[in-house]
Amino acid sequence: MKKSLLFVYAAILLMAALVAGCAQSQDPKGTGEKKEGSPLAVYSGRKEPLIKPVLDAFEKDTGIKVTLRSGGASELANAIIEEQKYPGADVFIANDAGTMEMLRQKGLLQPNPSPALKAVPEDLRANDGSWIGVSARTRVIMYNTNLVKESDLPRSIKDLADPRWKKQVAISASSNESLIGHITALRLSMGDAETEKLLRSLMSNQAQSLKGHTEVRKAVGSGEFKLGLVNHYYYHLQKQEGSPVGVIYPDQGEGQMGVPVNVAGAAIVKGSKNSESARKFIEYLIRPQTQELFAKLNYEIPVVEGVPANDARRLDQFKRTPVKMEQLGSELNKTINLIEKAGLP
Amino acid sequence: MTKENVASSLVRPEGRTRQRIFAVKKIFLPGSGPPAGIVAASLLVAALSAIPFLYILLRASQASPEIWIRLWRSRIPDLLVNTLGLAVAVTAVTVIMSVLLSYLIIRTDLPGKNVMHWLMAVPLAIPAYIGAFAYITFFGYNGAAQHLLEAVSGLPPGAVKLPSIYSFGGTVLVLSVFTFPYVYLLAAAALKSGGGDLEEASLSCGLSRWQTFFRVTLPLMRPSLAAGGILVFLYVLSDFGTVAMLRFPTFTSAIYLQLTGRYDRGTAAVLSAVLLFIALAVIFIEWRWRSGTRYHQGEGGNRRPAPVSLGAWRYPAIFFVMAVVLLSVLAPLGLLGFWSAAGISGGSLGSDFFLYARNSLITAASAASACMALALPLVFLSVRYNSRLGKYLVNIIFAGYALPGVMLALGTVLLVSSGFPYLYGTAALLVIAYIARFLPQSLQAEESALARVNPSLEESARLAGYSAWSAFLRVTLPLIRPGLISGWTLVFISSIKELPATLLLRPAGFDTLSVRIWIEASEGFFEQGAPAALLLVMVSALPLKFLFSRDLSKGGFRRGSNTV
Repeated sequence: MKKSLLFVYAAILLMAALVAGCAQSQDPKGTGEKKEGSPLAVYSGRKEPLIKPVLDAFEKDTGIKVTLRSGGASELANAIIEEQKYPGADVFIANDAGTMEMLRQKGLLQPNPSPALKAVPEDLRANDGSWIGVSARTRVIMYNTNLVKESDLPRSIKDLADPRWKKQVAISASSNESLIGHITALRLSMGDAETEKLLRSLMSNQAQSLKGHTEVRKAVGSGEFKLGLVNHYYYHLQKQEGSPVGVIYPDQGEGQMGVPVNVAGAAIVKGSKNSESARKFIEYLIRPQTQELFAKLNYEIPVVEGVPANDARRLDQFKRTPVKMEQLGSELNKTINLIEKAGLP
Repeated sequence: MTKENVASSLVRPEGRTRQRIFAVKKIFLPGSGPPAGIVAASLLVAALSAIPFLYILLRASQASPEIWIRLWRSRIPDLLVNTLGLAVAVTAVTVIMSVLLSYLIIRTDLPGKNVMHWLMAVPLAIPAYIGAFAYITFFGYNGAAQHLLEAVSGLPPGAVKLPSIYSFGGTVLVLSVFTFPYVYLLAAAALKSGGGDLEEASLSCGLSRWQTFFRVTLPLMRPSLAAGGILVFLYVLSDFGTVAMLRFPTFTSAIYLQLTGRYDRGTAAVLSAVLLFIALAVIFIEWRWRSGTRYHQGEGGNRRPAPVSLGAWRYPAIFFVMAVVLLSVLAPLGLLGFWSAAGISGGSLGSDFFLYARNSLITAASAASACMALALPLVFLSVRYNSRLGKYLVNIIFAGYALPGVMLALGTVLLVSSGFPYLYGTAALLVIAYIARFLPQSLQAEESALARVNPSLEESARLAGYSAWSAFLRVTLPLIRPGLISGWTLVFISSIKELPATLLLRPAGFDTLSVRIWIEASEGFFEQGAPAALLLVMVSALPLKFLFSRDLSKGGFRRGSNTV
């Protein structure tokens, strides 16, 4: 017994020593204090394989070292809020303009006067340059071509509430930032009352909330649901897998609201001691080569003029809902209030 | 006295007194309260696990009172009903499963029981959302099971539909097969720690095996079943990923809407406080139910009885155990292996995985060992010194287990960035977060283990002249060893697959296996996470095999003669 006790305690000590060793190797200065010239700390809410190649290329081209912390974009945004006294991130990469604008309004982002940002259309970035859209995504309806005839297709988002599509529509959970952005766009173009009516009729039509958009695209691809409300690249990804799917850009007619657009983007976090490198990184993201990479890897729409858009429709090839990206952040709370009131799962 | 009365009086003294096997007076150390050292140590440990509580209190206090009204008018009441129903059902299923499994594996001559015992811990190592995805692949729309049914029956596609996995029943099934080890491990530890003498006495008084089981064995297991059951109950309260995948909305989905939709940590904290309140209510109900009840084994009771011969029952017993192994180990691991084969040939398993595995092992093993040591003073204060302070501390810390991990992670971020910035971005912080999150598991394991040790054994050692410390080392520690091992196992596996805190707190570049699984599997590409998941299962199962095989062989199974 005594021997095994000794063993246990030796093991504990060894572990403690190892942990201390790891801790040290991670933070060689031991102070935790960040100095100019320390690696650029990137918090990224993008799927890692979609951003890692860009980071690697940036390191190689500029010689600036980057450390990456991948996570859920919303969780990382919450962490940035909680750690504002001691910011851990220099750059934050998010999948939604609303998230970045929310951080800006809380005073947690750093303005960026760099003239290079002008390459991004004005309505796809913050006025003070503290965040920019890097790639655009549109909210479309995808459908299973084996189950829906072309002549029956919905033409408007409002058609999803038609009893014809009862139990046939898949959407993502309401805590998803892309869906929230979509509902903000609906509110701004048709008013709160109409939007609430639409959400309620979607629910009484038993539209099914799935965990995320990948679940939605797979469910439409397999034929479990006929229609799905997604960002456009989910349609392209599902089609790439060989599924019988098609896409509708709804509300394109005269007097109709058009398709809501959102951006994934990047922001400089306030208190960053690597502002110089952070600005270089942001500029790197809107280089044509990087823009092309986003289009290639994930069918996202380049925001910079003249970069080809791998299969997806470019921003000038459809009618857009006229909403400024900043409004996705400033209207966030009112949208969630509406979601709660309607009881959207 | 009839035979039955004699036997039951072993467990239950006649009259209206509370159930006791051995009357324990408050005489552990007559005249003296708990030593100041133990109290101080307990308070220190409690301070560590206070992180999530303080965070919830702080953020909830900043929320305005109107939000209660707003929330109450939303879906929250429905979600509460969903959540409680699910938690009760999963707890009931896992407790029943574990009673049967632990009795069959520990007490009977079931063939292959050593391997089975080890396998029973493996489901814990499968991240629940990966497990859920395996079930969805089998039983989801147009899944493997549907194809199999059509192929075997020769029916046209769609003629017969299997019951949907996206239902209350399906969710209960998936959660149960991956969480029952919480109960099983503690129940098995209870059975291993003895009770054999009482059972033999009961049998020699003429009670049947069944009667002995219900009157002696089951009451002896009760503290462990309650402890494990509460862990499962609280786990279900805190789960988000699995229930979301199974399209069964629970209370945590409301917390996520506030936190990740609105970035409103105040409202998220208010909702988390509701979870805490439910947890406290359940814990205190169980405490009242148990209070005054003690089941100690008698002197020399650490002897394990001869295994019960199953006779003809062995066939249904083998069938049951194999069914559990199939549902919770073979099927999900088989699918993981299948996906991994594709993933590895696609190059998703690199040499970096050695590093990830090392990071996982070091942090999880440190957290598990630290938890076992840190829980001891609290458990002693509560169980042995019967201190009210100790009991309140232990029970409140238990309740923290119901909180979603992301709340703990954010609380730690706030605490560290405002008070201890030098800890930020170190692996030590990860270990601290694991301890704060999983201390309840080690407390449950140690408390139920210590509750079974008769203090008169320790007293005898003291009377024989041993110091308190050496009485603890020579008498108590060997007796609670199975409980310690179960507790270590629980914390180790829970830490190694922990995700929300790991994602937010790990040093940049310090990826663990659970992080890699998430990175590969995020956005619904679960197949791609399979190689890392399989490695995680292997990395956590190997130490268990070592621990468990030592554990079972040491307990002194006597082969051969059967006393019945």
